[in-house]
Amino acid sequence: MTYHEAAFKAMGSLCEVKLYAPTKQMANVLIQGVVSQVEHLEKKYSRFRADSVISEINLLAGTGTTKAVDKETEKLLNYAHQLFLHSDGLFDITSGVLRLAWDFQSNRLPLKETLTETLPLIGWHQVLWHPPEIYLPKPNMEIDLGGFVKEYAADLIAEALINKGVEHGLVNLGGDLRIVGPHPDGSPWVVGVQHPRIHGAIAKVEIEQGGFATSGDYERFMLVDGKRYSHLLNPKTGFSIQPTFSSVSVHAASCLVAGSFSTIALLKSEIDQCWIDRSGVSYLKVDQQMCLSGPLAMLGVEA
Amino acid sequence: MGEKCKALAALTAAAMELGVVGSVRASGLEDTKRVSYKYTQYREADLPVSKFHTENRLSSRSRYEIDIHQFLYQGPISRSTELKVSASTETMSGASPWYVARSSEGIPLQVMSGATISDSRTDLELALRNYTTATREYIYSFSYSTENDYSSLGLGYGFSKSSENQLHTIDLMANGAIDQVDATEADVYDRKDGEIKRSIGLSFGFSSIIHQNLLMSSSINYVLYSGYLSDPYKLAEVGEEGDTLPDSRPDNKNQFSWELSARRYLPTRDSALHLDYRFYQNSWEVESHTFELGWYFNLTSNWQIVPKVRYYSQTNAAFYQLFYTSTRADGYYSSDYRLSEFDAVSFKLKVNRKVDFGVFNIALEQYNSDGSHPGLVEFNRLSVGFALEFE
Repeated sequence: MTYHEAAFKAMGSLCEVKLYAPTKQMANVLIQGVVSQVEHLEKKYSRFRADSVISEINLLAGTGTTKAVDKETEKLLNYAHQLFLHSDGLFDITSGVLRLAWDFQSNRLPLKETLTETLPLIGWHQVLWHPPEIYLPKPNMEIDLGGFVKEYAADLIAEALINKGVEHGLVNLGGDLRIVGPHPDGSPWVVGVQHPRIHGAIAKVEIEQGGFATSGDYERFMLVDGKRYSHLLNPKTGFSIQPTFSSVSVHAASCLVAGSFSTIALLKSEIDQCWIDRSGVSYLKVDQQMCLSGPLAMLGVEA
Repeated sequence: MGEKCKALAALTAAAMELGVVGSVRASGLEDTKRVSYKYTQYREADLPVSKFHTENRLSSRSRYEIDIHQFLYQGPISRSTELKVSASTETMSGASPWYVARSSEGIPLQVMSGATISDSRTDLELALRNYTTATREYIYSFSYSTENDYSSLGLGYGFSKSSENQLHTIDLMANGAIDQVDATEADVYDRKDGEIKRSIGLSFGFSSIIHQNLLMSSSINYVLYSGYLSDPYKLAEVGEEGDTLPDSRPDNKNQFSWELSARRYLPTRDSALHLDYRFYQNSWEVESHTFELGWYFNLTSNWQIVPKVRYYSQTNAAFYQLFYTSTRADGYYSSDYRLSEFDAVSFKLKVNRKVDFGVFNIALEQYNSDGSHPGLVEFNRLSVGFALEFE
């Protein structure tokens, strides 16, 4: 059993697969399978591709025609529905239209009028979702699964590898991780948590299985008059959220759930800093002073 | 369930639907082998003088003392089959309750057997678990037990099926046993010899992971006994003259039980609460309730302490009496304290010490019972054991 790894670009991120396989040929076949699986999901769910399921749904917005989706998409939309319910509407797959108002390259805050025009297009509760039929009732309404499809892909790939007999490995899609299983000697994978302000890791965490994901205010942001405006937007007000934490990392059974909890924790932190504390998941919080806290901070190896 | 736990349960369930959590290797087998040994010292308290009938000069207040050695091996024998072998030997000595007599004031007193009873018993159990797929397994079991006056042979067959996402499991188990009772000194004491007892049992269980910190399970069990169900060493006092008749019980008994358990892991306290309830009822009209609460607390990553408390309450069998003023038309007599109405409380403390290659443990239990029967038992149980794990 030898160690193999490969890196590739997909879903707008740097991705990597690390695994142990009996031969190099077998590892190559497995890695090829991973790459094509990611490409397939990207093609199916990217809002940038006219032939994606998402574009098909968005194109029919306000036309009076519903779109019947396939089983996989149906389950993803059901997941999005749960996200909306359990985040009190803060995690909303219809909020992507806010990027029309927020240009993070410009270092300028959006105009109030633009926000006022955009807000009525937001709200999952407005969407007619009668599985498998979906309909966006207003022209220019949009959905975007970008908030969790990468995490979903990491899980799906890991599950496929497990089903092909892989017992030791990890899948990393732009920082969203899913462990296939620990190293052959049973030792855990050591995962770095990105420092929110400088290049490099702020902490290292040892993980044997499950998913691990981090959300931070550093992914996209702009500074206006010295104030930091992150890409985390409140779908109800259209404003940038000022999270109490600069990042939250979560370890859960799946990457999908880990990513959802880290995002909701950040979105909620403005009003409820303790939301994640009793959620039942393990987490690591980095506050604005770069102090670490949470169960994973206790277990982790500081970088 | 708190709002936030609800979020975790809901999102985990929706993620499960997507099939992204829960794959395990095609075989549910662990590669590790486990060998364990446990020594138990069981000591019944002497019968108090106030409850003891002294007229019989052979009678002794010293009750059972049992020493038990248990061995267990568990490990794979093929890619899809696991073998579990357990064997135990026990040696017992001491007096046991014989019958209940009245004092001159009419107070019930326990007449005990002589203190010379000593016996040994050997048990062997084999179980094979065969994992046909990641979610399905079959269980085959065989057991044999023998002591001077008793032998028992049992067979079992079971089936267990988990849901694709491994969150829910159902179990079905059927078993049967045949026992032979050859009471010692049968001719001297007019005891039964060569009597047969049969049992057939069925159980159905369901367990479910409600969320990652809560596991609940429930099962129902039904057992049908037939044949010789009396105790050949016990008598009952019948009539005003102090005459005794052999313990005699109906030759069939149906019993039903329902169990419910919850395992709640408390991540903030690094501990787990175990809560169990059992309801039991049989056709002899014995009905019982058992509640048990245990707290598995990790002091450090290597030390765990487990305090447990158990409460038990039962009603008496329909034909049971401390003594009988006249003969019964059905001919059933038993003054066995185990068929009387009583409550019992037991406290147990267990300490586990994890080391690189396994676990050492020590446990102490104290059991007290309360009821109108003079022969109700109280005991202490001390056990010391270790389990080794290796590849």
